[in-house]
Amino acid sequence: MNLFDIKEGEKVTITSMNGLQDRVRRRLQHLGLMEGSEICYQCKVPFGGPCILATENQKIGIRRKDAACIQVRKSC
Amino acid sequence: MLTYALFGNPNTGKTSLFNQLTGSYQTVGNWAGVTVEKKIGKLKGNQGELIDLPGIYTLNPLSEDETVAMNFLLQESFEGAVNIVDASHLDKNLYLTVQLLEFGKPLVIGLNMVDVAKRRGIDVDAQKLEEVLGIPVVPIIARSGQGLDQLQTYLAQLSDKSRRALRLNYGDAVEQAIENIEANIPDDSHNRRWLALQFLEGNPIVEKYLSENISMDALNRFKQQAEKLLNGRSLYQHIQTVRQEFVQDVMKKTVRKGKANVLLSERLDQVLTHRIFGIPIFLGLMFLIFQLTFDWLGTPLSDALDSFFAGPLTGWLEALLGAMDATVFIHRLIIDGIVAGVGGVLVFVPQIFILFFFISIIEDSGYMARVAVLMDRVMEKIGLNGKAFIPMIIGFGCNVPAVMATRSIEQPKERLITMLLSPLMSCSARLPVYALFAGAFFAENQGIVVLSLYVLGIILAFALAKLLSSTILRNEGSFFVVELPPYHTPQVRSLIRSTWEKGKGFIKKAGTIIFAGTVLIWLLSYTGPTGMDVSIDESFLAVSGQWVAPLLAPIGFGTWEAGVALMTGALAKEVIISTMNIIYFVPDVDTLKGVIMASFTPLQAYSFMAFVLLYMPCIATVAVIRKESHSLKWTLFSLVYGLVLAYLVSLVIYQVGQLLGF
Repeated sequence: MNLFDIKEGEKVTITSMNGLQDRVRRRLQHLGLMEGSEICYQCKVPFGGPCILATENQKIGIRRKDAACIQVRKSC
Repeated sequence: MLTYALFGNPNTGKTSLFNQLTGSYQTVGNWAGVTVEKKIGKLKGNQGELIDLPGIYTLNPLSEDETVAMNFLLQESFEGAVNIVDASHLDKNLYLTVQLLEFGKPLVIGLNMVDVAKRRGIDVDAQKLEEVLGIPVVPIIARSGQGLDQLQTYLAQLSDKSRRALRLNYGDAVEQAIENIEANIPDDSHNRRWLALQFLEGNPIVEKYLSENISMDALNRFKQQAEKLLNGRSLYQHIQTVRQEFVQDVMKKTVRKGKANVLLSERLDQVLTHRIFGIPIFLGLMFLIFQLTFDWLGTPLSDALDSFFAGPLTGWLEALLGAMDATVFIHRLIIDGIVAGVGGVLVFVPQIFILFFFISIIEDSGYMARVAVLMDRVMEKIGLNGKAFIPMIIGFGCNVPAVMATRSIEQPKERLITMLLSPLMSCSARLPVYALFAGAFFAENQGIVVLSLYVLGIILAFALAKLLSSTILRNEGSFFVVELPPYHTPQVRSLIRSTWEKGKGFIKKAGTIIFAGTVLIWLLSYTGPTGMDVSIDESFLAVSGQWVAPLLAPIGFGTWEAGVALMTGALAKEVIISTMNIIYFVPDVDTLKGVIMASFTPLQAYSFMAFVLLYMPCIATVAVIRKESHSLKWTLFSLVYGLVLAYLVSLVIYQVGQLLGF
């Protein structure tokens, strides 16, 4: 299951970021997003725009095609 | 002289701290990438120099502004450093701290935003953190100045202590590689273990630094050997994981988490980045700003200032000149030249300050990063990313900082395109021209007409970006990751400060380049091939304008007056107004409006405004493009494409407009 399949407001845990471009993965890691991070999928900008992810205490905007490369599982 | 450097993640308040510690003023904002260059200031109390560096997440750079900090670390000598750490994002911030500790220079941590963290239910035990890391940790609130005395005391003591660099255990394979590489690095001022580690994780700056002195073959071999032993994980990932584990361990020992209050920021975002209303709200806000700047607030103030210059001020000066028995030449130079020329530009100060005030609010509140997200889809379509929209907004104020702001764009080609096109964003210097012409010809719809010019600039910039990004500057792997900082209410004091800092450049320009230009133009209008005090139509000014006039005829304003104004306007676009004031020989803006209404039709006026918008960046912008692009070719390109574009657009406006019967 990737991040793109998740409904708005759902909480998930990242299981793999290997599908991402190297630069995107590195930048996300700088921001503290890595395997095991718990995130909440917040919202999508319409017309295929980026989406906003919220971690415990910050928000990050990324493109949808990148979101589709992040594998996640539902948090219990 | 003792030198200290300021390191920290983007948007953690480094520049606020810098301003407080040095008593200087540098621009602060609430988004990642405000500072793109190192800034030097004198510490209060004569303690030495403090250097403010662009924010970085790690020492291994991805964008141009991040290389500035890394180059500083490698190439300049300093006694110690302050690492400013955001208490509400401790884990993310400590990752950089680890690398600075590995570097081994004396370090003191300024634990900033403890107040913000508390509100989010995050409690950081500063004393414990000090114990775990083995360096001084001072809780501070950089915005208000709390805790800075103590920080400075520690800073003064730093240089006395010799410190050992932090050593994490990176596992046998990597430790072996580090040892081998260290043996190959000659003794110099830098910590060899740190150099080896940065090399292993693929830091391009360190790689370049090492390759200047030693052959890289052996080093690369050690690197490959180590990577083979990691079972498919890259060295970069491995090193990162070890550091993260250390950070998590520190976090466990020092941070307690309680309940967070539901934040206002959260609610604001539900509205401002709303999936449907987000973009309309942004456009609505921009429209509101224009209305306030041009119609509701700015114009009445400008008019009041104008009548003051034309009335009382001119009266006083005339009385003074009369009392001093000034010659006719001096009298006319001052009244017809300087007062008309410089005053004609200064009357627009209210509008410009109002515009800068709103730009400051956008910068300070945290809305800027949201705009980048909202606009990313559009920007992606033209081959750029949402971050490129930030320089464009700054460009509405002034193109020079806009070109500088492109440094935070990671992709070199996207950055170049944004740099070349940001002069199409209509800056405040062009505003006097619009205010004059739109005020004269389109008084009823002034706000809308001016807005249409801004939109014209944006549309052309987008079209050209698309063209460039799909032809000569084709770009692979565009990407977009942006941090959305929490909103905060801008402080009145800092808003006034940053509005003034942006606007004072305009006033300074009026006193220098515009003043000098005005005197020169007046002299050229006063003298001619036949001598002094000639009629203006026989002046040097008219003679030179007549050369250009025929070229401008097809686009609607083939008069020597327009030609001269445009030529002098290359200096700075405000000079266009100064020149017109002198050429048309008028005491105030109202009379000038009357005169230009007699020599332009509304269609010609619109074509003229479009030409002024596009025709070329001012010299200050050209200089900064040269500096930032490191390329004469692209600098010339920015000049030439502007002229060609301006001519074509004005031609279309004028010719099509005539066909349509305007």
